[in-house]
Amino acid sequence: MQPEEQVDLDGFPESLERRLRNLPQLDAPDGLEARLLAAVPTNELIAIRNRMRASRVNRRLMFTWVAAFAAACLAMALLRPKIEDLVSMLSVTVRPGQSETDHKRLGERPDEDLQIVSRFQDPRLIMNVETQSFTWPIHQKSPLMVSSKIPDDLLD
Amino acid sequence: MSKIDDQRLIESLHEGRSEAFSEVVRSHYEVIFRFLVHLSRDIHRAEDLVQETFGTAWERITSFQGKSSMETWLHRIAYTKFIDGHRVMQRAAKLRESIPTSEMSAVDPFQLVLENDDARNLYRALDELSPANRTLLVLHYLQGLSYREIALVLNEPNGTIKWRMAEALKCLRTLVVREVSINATRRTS
Repeated sequence: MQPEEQVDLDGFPESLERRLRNLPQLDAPDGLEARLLAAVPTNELIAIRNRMRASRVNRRLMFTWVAAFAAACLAMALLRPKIEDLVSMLSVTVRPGQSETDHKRLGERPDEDLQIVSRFQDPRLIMNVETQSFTWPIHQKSPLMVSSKIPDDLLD
Repeated sequence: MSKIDDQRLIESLHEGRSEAFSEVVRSHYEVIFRFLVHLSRDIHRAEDLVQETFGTAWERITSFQGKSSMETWLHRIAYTKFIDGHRVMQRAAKLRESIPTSEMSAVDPFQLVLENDDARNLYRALDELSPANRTLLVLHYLQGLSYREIALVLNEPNGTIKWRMAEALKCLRTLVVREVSINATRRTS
């Protein structure tokens, strides 16, 4: 889209726009084209660059996978005891009458589970019987005092 | 260049074929050089900027989708290069202070090509314009870009470009009249 030609006010026969368009232009210096073309990389260079870029991408992808795998392993190692506890707890609560062999089959720790089962099977808890309230002070015998002195017959 | 040719060229460029880019360099380097000479008023700086422009164009060739013409795209890169360089020079000039702030070189690159007083006056008036106004007039009247293309190069709305163009022409007209009157006074004295 060209602007409208205006009547020239500065005393020249041609309008300012036309004079601007007809201004003589500078030629590009000799050798500029050759310099610019020399800076364009050859196809071989481009291929090498592309290969390098692709290998860089592959390497980055591989590192990402290795890092993700390592993070997953670490998370598993850290969370394993908790997961085991949770699994055993669930198995106990779902099937309270399980035998010890069942636990062994599942590869869980039966001792702990049996404790939990016994806690659940406490008749006071089941029958909802009120336990005796706790009172202070506790009447308890003081522990036996043992002499720390080394007997003379041991000191030869 | 037809649309099919353009499309084929873009495909070749995206494939990274150096012959295609050499073709782009051959067909556009003079236009870009002229644009940068007008902006910088320094042949050597313009040469450096042309090299930087085509270097950047090659690096970002995959981002060129053919929505604008190759010439517009190259003008945009060249303009950005000039602005970046101009900022660096201004900062350096501020630091040194002793160096004049004008970006023009001591030798006017257009002195040799100007045959008559009229053209000389016009160039002198263009020199006196602000860089923003000069860029607009150069892009439209000397580089032959349309308003829409200029809007893409300068990243401004079409309407703003039209309005600014009218203002720039008004300023240039005033400066040309002043140049003519100064020359007339010189001749009579």
